[in-house]
Amino acid sequence: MKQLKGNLLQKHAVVLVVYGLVFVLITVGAIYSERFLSVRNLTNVFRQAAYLGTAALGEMLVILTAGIDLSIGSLVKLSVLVSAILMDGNPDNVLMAVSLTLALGLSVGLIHAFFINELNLSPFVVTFASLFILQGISLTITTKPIGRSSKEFLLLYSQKFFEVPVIVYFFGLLTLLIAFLLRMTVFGKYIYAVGGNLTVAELSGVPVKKVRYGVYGLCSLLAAVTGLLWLMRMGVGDPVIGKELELNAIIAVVIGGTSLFGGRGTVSGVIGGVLLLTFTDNLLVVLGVNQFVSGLIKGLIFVGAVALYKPNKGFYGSSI
Amino acid sequence: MVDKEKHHLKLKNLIAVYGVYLALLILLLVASYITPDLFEEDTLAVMFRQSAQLGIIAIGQTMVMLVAGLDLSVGGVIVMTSMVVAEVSNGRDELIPLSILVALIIGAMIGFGNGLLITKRKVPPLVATLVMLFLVQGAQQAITRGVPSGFVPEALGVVNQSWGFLSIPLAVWFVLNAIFFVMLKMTSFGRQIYAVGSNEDAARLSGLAVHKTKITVYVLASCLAVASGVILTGYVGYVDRFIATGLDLDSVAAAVVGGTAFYGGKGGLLGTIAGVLIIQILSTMVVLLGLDAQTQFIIKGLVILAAVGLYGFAQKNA
Repeated sequence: MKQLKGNLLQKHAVVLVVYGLVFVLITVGAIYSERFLSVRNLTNVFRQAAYLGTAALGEMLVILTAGIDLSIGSLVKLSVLVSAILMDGNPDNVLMAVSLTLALGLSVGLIHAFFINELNLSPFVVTFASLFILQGISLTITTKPIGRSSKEFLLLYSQKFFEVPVIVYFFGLLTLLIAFLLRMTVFGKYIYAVGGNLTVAELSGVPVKKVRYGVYGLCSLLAAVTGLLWLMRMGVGDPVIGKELELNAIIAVVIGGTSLFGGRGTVSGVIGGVLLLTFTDNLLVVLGVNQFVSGLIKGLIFVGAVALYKPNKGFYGSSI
Repeated sequence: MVDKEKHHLKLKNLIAVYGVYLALLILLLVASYITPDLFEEDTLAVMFRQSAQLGIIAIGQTMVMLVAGLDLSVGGVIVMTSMVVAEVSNGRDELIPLSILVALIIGAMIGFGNGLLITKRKVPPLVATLVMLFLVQGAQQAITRGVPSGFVPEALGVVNQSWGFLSIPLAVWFVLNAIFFVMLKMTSFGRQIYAVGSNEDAARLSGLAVHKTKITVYVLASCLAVASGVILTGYVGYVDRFIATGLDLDSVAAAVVGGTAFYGGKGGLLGTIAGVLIIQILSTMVVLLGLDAQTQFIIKGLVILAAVGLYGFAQKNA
C-alpha cells in the first residue's frame, strides 16, 4: 500500500511540482496585489493562456511521438498574415479566410510528415528548415502590418459569456478534446506507442506513418488556429506575431513533464506548464515589477523549474 | 560489371564525403555567371568577414552537435560580450584585455551552466540552452535597464584591418579552425567527443568521463561565441542589443549543411566551413541579385532540406 502510494506520487511528481509552482505564484499574487485575484484579471490570464496553450497542445502531440516541431512560431506568423489579407475587413470573407487559413496550416503539417515519413529525415531538421522557409515567405509578403480583421471577428476577442471570455471556453473545450483523444481513442494509444518504442510499435502493427501525418497535421492546424486567435486580438496581420513562439511552447511542454524522447507526458502537465508561464508574465505586470527586471526573474523561474527535477527519477523518466 | 558497380559505389561514397565541397564549387560556378560582382574585392571582403563571424560560432556549435547537443544560447553570449566589453573598458584602449577576460569568464560560466543542466539534471540540450538564453537576456536587461551604456574602445577597431579580401576576422577564423581541427582529430579529447556523441552508454562503460567531456564542450562553445562577439563589437563600434540576431540558428544551419548530424558523433569542422561559406555566398547573392532580402530565409531553408536529403540519400546508398 505504502509502495503504491509512493509510486503514485512519483508518477505524478512533475504535475505536482508544476501546479505547486503555479500555486506559489498565485499565493504571492494574492498577498501582494488586490487586483490579482479579481475575476477580471483571472479571466484575462486564462484568455492569454489560450494563446500559448493552443500551440503548446499541438507541440505536445508531436513531442509525444518523439518528434518536434520548430516551425510553429513561423506558421503562426504566416497564418496571421494570410487570414488578415484574405479577410480584408469584410464580414463576408470571414468564413473563407478562416477555412483557407486552417487548410494552409493542415497542409504545412502534412508536408512535414511527408518529409519525415517518406524521405526518412529527422523531424528536427525538417521543421528547422520549415522555420526558415515559412518565416521567409511571411516576411517576403510583408514586413509591416497588413490586411484587416472584420469587426465581428475582432469582437470575438472581448465577447464574454457569464463573465468569462469565449476564448477561454474554446480553450477549455480544446483541452478536453485533446485529453479525450489521448486517453480514450486508439489514435491516442498509437501516439504514445510510437513515442515509447518505435520498433515495438512498428512490429505490433501500429500505422506509424499515419500517426505521424495525424500529429504533425494537428500540430500545424493548431498553429493556424493560434494565428486566427491573434488576428482576433490585433485586428491586423502583424508580422511580429509568433516570434519564438515555438520555443515558449516547447518550454511549457517540457516543464509540464513531457519527455522530449517521446512516449511520456500528460495534458494536465502541459496545461500546468502553460499556466506557469502565463501566470509568471501576469504576476510581473500586476505587481508592477520593473519591466527590465522582469526578464531576469522570468529567466530564473525557468532555469529553476527545469533544474528542480531530479535526474533518473520522476521527470524525464516516468510521468504518464 | 562488378567493376562498374564498385565504381558506382565509390562515387557515391565520394559524394557523401566531399558532397558539400562539390556543392560549394557548383555554387561558385553559378555565381560567376549570374552574379559576377561576388568576386569583386570589396564584396568578397564583406562576405568573408561575415563568414568569419558566423564561422567562429559554428566551430563551437559543431562540437556541441558532435556530442549530440545543441546550443541556442550563443547569440545571447555574443550580445553579453559586446555589453561587457563596452561597460568594462568604457572606451579606454588599455582596458581591452581586462574587458575581454571578464567576458570570457562570464561566457565560460554560461557554458558551464548549460553543461551542468544537461549532464547533472538531464535536461534536453534544446531546453537547457534556451532557458539559459532567457536568463542571460534577462540579466542583461536588468543590468542595462534596456539602454546599453559604455563605449567600445577605438583600438578594438583593429578587426577592421584588411588587406584585399583578407582581414583579421578571416585570419582568426582560420587559426581557430586549425586549432580545433587538430584538437578533434589528433587529441584524445577530440576522440572522446566523437565517442560520447556516437554512443554515450558505450563511452561511459569504457570509462570515459562523459559529463566532463560534455561540459567542456559547452564551455568551449560559449568561449568561441565570446571571441565572435569581440570581433563583431570591434567591427560595429557600438553596443547593439540586436547585434547577434539570427546568428544562433545560422550556426546550427551551417553545421547541418556541412554534414554534422543532430544525433551526434558524425560530422566535423571541414564540412562546417563549407556550410558557412555556402550560406554566406547565397545570402550575398540574394543581395546582389536585388531580391527581397527576406527571401534569403526561404533559400536557407531549402538549402538545409536539400543538404540533409542528399546526405540521407548518400548514406543509404553508400
